[in-house]
Formats: sequence, structure tokens, C-alpha cells
Amino acid sequence: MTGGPLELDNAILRNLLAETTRAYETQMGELYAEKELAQVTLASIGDGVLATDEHGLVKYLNPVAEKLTGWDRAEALGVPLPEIFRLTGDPEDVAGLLSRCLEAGQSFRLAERGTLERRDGRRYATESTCAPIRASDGRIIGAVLVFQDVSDKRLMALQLAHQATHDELTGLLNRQAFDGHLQRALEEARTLANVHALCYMDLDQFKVVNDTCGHLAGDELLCRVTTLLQESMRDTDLVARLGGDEFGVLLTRCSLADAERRAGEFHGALQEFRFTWRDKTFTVGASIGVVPITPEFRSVAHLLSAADHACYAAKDKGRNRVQTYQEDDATFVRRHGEMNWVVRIQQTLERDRFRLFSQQIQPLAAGAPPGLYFEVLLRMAEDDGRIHLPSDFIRAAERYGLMRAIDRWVIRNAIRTLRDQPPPFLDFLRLCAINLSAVSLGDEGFFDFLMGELADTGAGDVRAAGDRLADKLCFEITETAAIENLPQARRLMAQLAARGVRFSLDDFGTGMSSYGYLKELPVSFLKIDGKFIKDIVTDPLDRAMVESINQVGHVMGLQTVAEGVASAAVVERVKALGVDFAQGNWISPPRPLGATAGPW
Amino acid sequence: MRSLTVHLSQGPCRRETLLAASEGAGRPPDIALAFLPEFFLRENLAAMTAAWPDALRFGCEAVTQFADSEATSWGSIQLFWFDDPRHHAAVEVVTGTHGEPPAPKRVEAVARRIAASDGALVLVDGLRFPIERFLDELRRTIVSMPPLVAGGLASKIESATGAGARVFLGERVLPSACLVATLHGVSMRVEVVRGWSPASPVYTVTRVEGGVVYEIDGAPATDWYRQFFTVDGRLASMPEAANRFPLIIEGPRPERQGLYRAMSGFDDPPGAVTFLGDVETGDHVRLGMGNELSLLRTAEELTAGDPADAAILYSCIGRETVLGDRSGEEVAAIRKTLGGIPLSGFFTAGEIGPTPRGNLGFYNLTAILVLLRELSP
Repeated sequence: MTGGPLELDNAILRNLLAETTRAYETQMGELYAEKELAQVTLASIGDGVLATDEHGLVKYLNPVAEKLTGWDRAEALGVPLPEIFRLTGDPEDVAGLLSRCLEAGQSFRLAERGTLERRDGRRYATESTCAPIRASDGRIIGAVLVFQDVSDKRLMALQLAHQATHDELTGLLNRQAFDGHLQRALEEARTLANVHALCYMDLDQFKVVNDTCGHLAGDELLCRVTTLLQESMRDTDLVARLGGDEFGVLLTRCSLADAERRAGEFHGALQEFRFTWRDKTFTVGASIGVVPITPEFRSVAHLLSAADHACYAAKDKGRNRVQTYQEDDATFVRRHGEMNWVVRIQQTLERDRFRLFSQQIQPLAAGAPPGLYFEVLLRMAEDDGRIHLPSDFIRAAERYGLMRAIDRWVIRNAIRTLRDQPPPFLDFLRLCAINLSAVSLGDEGFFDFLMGELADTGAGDVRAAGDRLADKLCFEITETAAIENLPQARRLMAQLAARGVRFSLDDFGTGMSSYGYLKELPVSFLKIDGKFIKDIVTDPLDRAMVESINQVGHVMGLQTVAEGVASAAVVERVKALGVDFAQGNWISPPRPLGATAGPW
Repeated sequence: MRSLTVHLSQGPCRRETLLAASEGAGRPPDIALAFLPEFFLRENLAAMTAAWPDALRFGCEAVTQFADSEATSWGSIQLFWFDDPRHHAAVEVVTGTHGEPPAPKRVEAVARRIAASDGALVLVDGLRFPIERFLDELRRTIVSMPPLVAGGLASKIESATGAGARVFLGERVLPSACLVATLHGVSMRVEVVRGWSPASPVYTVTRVEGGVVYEIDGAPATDWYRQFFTVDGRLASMPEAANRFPLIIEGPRPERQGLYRAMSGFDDPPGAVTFLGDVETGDHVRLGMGNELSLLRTAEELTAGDPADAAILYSCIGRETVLGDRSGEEVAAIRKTLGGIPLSGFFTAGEIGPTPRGNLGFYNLTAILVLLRELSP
């Protein structure tokens, strides 16, 4: 052995060096194998891979990169990366990003909209990432760019994006996308004082075409109108289909006067347009609301609401016209009031705060079967105890589709109240009249609903109890409601009549008062409107009207009811005319349904 | 915080000598940390009691102690005065033997005290106290990252009396014990001074039983060493030749990465190797290399960092062996780097300090430098 510690240490170090060298060679062999594997892997993967040295000169590219860039490996080696990987239509500078990658060691995802231009000019949509390559000591020795051809993926994404923002039938923007544009227009109005306008359009004849010629015809009409609309508008305007037959147009940088003129021009074009489907030809009208987009509008919803109101005002004034939004217009004020009522109605339904009242109907004819006759009346109770009459809120409920819910609430609660009365009650009850809206008359689910409510009449002979109650029910309908959807109304009334339910025609004399409809409908009672009754003692014309209605009714086998009776003299007069029943505050003011035990 | 290192001279020290050394401060010290030789131990402790009866007095036996820039055999006492009366230190005594580890409840109590402190100094009877098991238990008990813990093991034994490697608190000399001094109101920084370079490829320890390493890379551990330490056909004297070639643990467990191990036995039992610290099956290991020049250069290149009030150095006796005649130069170089602040310490049989990725590592062949600074009120 060698002498001192230093020599010994040196000898040991030589051994260590030899072992380290042997291990290094083994590792190099393994690394070579790993490198082979890596190269095979890189050649096999579907992504393009480009690697550079620390100066950004290409050192490697795999076959996919060769194909997508159009450069073969022999030519590409030593060429600056940006010359080979050329992105067009993209604000990001490949050279700049590569430089930051190599100098600052940052990784980048290149813009997703990047388009790679191949050497022969062909283009591919690509997604790519660029990352530094570091040596084991952390030093940056190059960069690697990995990219893939996403042309198909991007096309699909574009198609999906288009589908998400456009109406499938007409190809116009859909409501959601249109809202986004309106939002920007509103912001521009606030921040840049740009002037824009919004048109809201509702086709007047769409329902007729749809109902008489079918959905295909309706769709065709919408497409034709779309074409007409697009031809009438500037390239800078945005046209959208907002609903079934509702269209919106955002007129950018357009004064209110210009917007009115352009809406008028389109309206004129539509007037001249004729839609033909097989052997039928239709004229098509539209009600158009025009609104200037001003900073006063709090939101897109507010703006669209104003446009909708203007459109509705156009309909109110006889349809097929252009109406400009005016904030102080009584129509708008009323519509805003209706909107408030809608909220209150919904809250009242949710909180179960409607109240049912009853008003007695007095038989006048001698020998009429004794018993209880009354009409169920609806009231809305406020938190502070105030009570609202239906005249306050029914218009809003009709316009905003709440009548179905109200009708069902009334019927459900009326039947339950009657059911909860002591047993002799049903024996004493002769007639319970409940108002029914046009919506429920046309509601195909109404019959099942009513049968369900009648069946739910407690223990015992359910069917019998339900039938007994059905015999006492009488639905009061208006002429207008009945003829709105006459076939369905007739069908429902026949179904219900077969179960013992009766009907009365309410407010007779105020509408068309067509006796012809009386023959069409299974009605048992005619309720003569109170406006003919009120002055019947003094007004011979009213007396003649009531006499006439009463006679016709009797001839048709109907019983008559005089509404709005307010004095003993009126009672005497209608009784003298042969009217069968009288109803009014003089006979009995409304009182809570089921609140008292008498008079039965 | 003020600090002062008292350099003891040959023979038992006297109360007057100690009082004279500390009188410049104007009041008795709050802490007296002593590293004392086994001879005159009782006399020296009695003198400390007489001089500073109210001070927290603790320390351990040591063969070679540090007193500022010197390495000495006569002992050193480092005195500390807190500027803020709310700041203080406390010492927990943990007893145990290699046969009987500390009771779990005791470990839990100590762990709670460490967790509530700003740092802890640990002094251990390195012959009898199961320090590595104690540290394992502490690691398990302290769930969150504990404050820094640093210290060293006393190991020298005097064959005739069985003395040596003991710790003391006041005048109580405690064999088989560990002292944990928790510091409150003190900022503690710990540097692990190395000086060894990797010298071989990385291998895997494949069999360890009862703390004895039997196999490395599937071959007997002695054969693994023989391939390096056989010169001219003959094996170098082991384990002495391995002093300058420590075993470096490279992982794979992050908390073990960067630990060093000094060989304590070779081919006993046959084919096996033992170390002063634990080596586990699965450890990735390689040989390091170094000499007195690399150790001193590392000490000289130490960066001072934030100013400190005082320093304590726990340097491994393995380094003392490698440094040989120049063993005093390491502490001198370190103190110079620190700007001459008061320093004490000793050559240890094992060091406790943070690992690169954790805390509570048990080292061999390093120097653990503890830097203390009192926190501002």
C-alpha cells in the first residue's frame, strides 16, 4: 500500500474515478437507448415538434412538423425558427416570443387563433406551445415548440359557436347573442354618447298562416320575412329573431328619426309583400316598436321591455303600424302598472293570499227550488289589509299568462271550502257559479284538473261526493272567451256538461251578443250585464234590451240572471219582466266564502 | 441581547474569576451555557452556582470546546443577557436509555413546548440517549413545521469512571439525558456547514437490520466499500480511511436528502458496516470526499447574513479528525465571518439541525452553526 493519507486518498479517488467512469459509460449507453426511444416517440406522435438551440436556430423537427411547415429536416437545420414556423393573422410575433422564451425562460401558449402558413402557402389552424429546454444545471440551451393542426377542431368550434348564437331556422342572431350586442350598444350610449336605436317587430299574420297552412308554411314565412328584413337594413345593422314571430333590429349609429324612417320603409316593403302557400295568398303585416337607445335605460331588459311596450302599443292602436316609444305615454304607464301587478299576482299566488268571497243569487220566480245560489268572487289581499277587486289585476293577469294559475287556484280553493262545510250544506246548495277565463276554456288539461279536484273530496264515496258537487257547479264564461277557441271550448263544455257541470254566459249584452253562439254552446244561464240593469227603472231602452234578452233566453230554454241589482225597485222591475234570478249588492253584498254558517 | 464567552483556564475555575468575567454587564447573566471537560466538572458547576445562582445554567461535557475563535480543552461558558425582561429560556430534561426510549407523553410535552417557542437548543448524552428515536417521535408529534431545533451530542467516555457524554442542569449531572432549551423572544438561524463533494455514482442501500448496513446495491456493504478502498491489492485501514469519504444520503425521501453519515464500524458483524447515524433500506447513497482544505474553505466562504448577537457551533468530531492540527482554524474562520461575535460550542458525536427540505435532521460530519438574535421589543 502507498504511504501517507494523501497518497491513500489519491488512490481511493482513482478508484472512485474509475467506478464513476464505468457508471457514466453505462448511463451513456442507457441514455443512448433513451434517446433512440425518444426519437422514435417524437417521430410517432401526432403533434409537430420543433427544437432550437439557444440562439433560436432549428436543431430538430419531427415528421409531422416537416409536413405542416413544408420544410424537410435537412433544409431546416440551422434556420431561424420564425422563418420555418410562420404564423399569419396573429398579432403575436413568434420571434419575440421565442426570444422571451430563450432569454427569460418563460413558457408560452401561442394564440389559439394562430394560422400556420406552410412553405407552399397552404394554411393550417394551429395551437402551439413554446417552452425553454434546460440543461441539468438549469441553463437554457434551447427551446421546443409543439404544435398541432386544429383546423377540423376549430371549424367545429366555429360551427358550435355559430349554433349557440344563431337561430337555426332563419340564421339570424338569437336572443342571447342579440342581448350581448344590445348591452354593448347601451354601454356605448353611456360612455361614448353614440346614438343607436332598437326596433322590435311582431308579425301580425303569423298565427293565421301557421294555423291554417301548418308549421312548414309558418317557417317559410319567417324565412321570407327574414330575407326582406335583411334587404331593408344596412350592413352595420344587426337583425335577430327573438321569439316565434318576433324580430329585433339594432340600428347602429342611427338617430331616432332615421330609425323611424327605416322602420317605416320596412313596414311599407312588408305591406307590398305577398306570401303564397299552395293555393292561399296572405298579406303580412307587422307591429313595430322603435326605441332610441339612451343612457336612461338601466339594462338590456329595460330596453327590450320598452321596445316590447312600443310594439304592444302599435297593436293596441290597430296593429300593422310603427310606434315610437314615449316614456310619458299613458299606454306605457299602464303597461308598467301591469308589470307591477304581475309581480304582485305571482307573490299572492306563492303566499296563498288570494281570498274567495261569495255573492248570493236570489231566485225571483215563484216556485223556484229553495236553496243556496251564489257566485264565487275573487279578491286579492295585501299585507296591509287592503283588498283589490279583479278589475285591478285581471288585465295584467290575462296579458302575462297568469289566468290559468288564477283559475285553478280559485277552483281548487272553492271546492275545498265547499267540501269542508257541514254535511247538510251540499243538500241545501243549488248553484255555485265560478268565473272561468278563455285560457282555461282552451286548456286541454283543464278537464282532468277539475275531475281530480272533485275526486279529492274526502273520505267515503269519493265518486259520489264528487258527482254531487259537480252537479252544483256552474262556470261563468264570456262570449269572447268562448269564441276565442270555439272548438276546444265546445269540447270542454260538452265533457263537463256530461258530468253535471253547468255554464252561464256572463256579461251578456256587452260583447257581440250573438244569439247564434247560444245554439252552439251548452249554456244553462244567461247573465244580463249590470249596465242594462242599473237604470232599468228609468230607461226604457235598457228595459227593452233586458226584455229581449230574457225572452230569447227563455225561448232557448235558458234561465236568466240580472246582474248589478242595486235597489228594491230594480228587483221588482226585473221580476216583472220574468227574469229568473237577481244578483247585486242590494240583495246581498259579497262576503267571505264559508265564513258564516247561514243561511242554509 | 448581550453575550460573552468565558474562556476557562487549566484547573477548576473560581467564583471570583467568573464574577470578574461577567461584571462588565452590570448584572448577573440570564443564561450560562457551559461546555466543560470531564475533569473538575463538579467544581466548575459549583463555581457557576456561586457566581450566578439565579441564572439558567446548563450544558454538557465535551473534549474539545470552542471559546470565541479558539478550540480549547479547558472549557467555555457562554453568558447571555436579555435586553427585554419578558424574554427568557427554559430547559426541559428528557431521560432515556438506548434500551428505554423516552415515554411518549414526555415527548409530547416537550414537543408542545418546542412548538410554543421561538427555537430550541438540544444537548444530548450521545452514548446513552436514543437521540434518533427521540427525533423521530418529535417529528411525528409536531404536526406543523416546528421552530428551528439545533444541537449536538456529547460522546467522550472516561473508561475508569464511566463519566463523559453527560449533560448538566444547575449542579445536577445527568447521564442518559437530553436537555431541550426553549428560547422565547429570540430569532434563531441555523447554518449547516458541509465542505464535502460528491465522489461516486449513486447507489441504493438494499438491506439494513438493527441499524447495521448489510447490503448496498445487492452486494455486501463491505464489498461495496472494498472496491473503493482497496489500494495495491490491500484494504485501507477502516473505518479511519472512510473519515474523509462520508456517506451522503441523496434521498429518495426528501427529509433525508443531504444527510451525512460517518462510519463507526467495518466488517463487524462480517460483511456489514455501521454508522454513527441511521441508514435505512432504500436510501440512495453515494460517497463524498473532502479534506481539511475543503472544510476550511467552506468555513471561510460562509456568508454572514443578518447580524447576530451570539453564535453556538456544534462541529462533528469527524471533522476534527480530518482537520487534524488545523481543527482550531475552522471555528476561527467562522467567527471571523460573523464579525467576531461571542461564540461557544464543541466537537460533537452527531449534530442536530434542519435538512434542506425539513427540520430535525440528524447529521454526521457537518458543523451546525446556530445564530441568535434577540427580537426587538
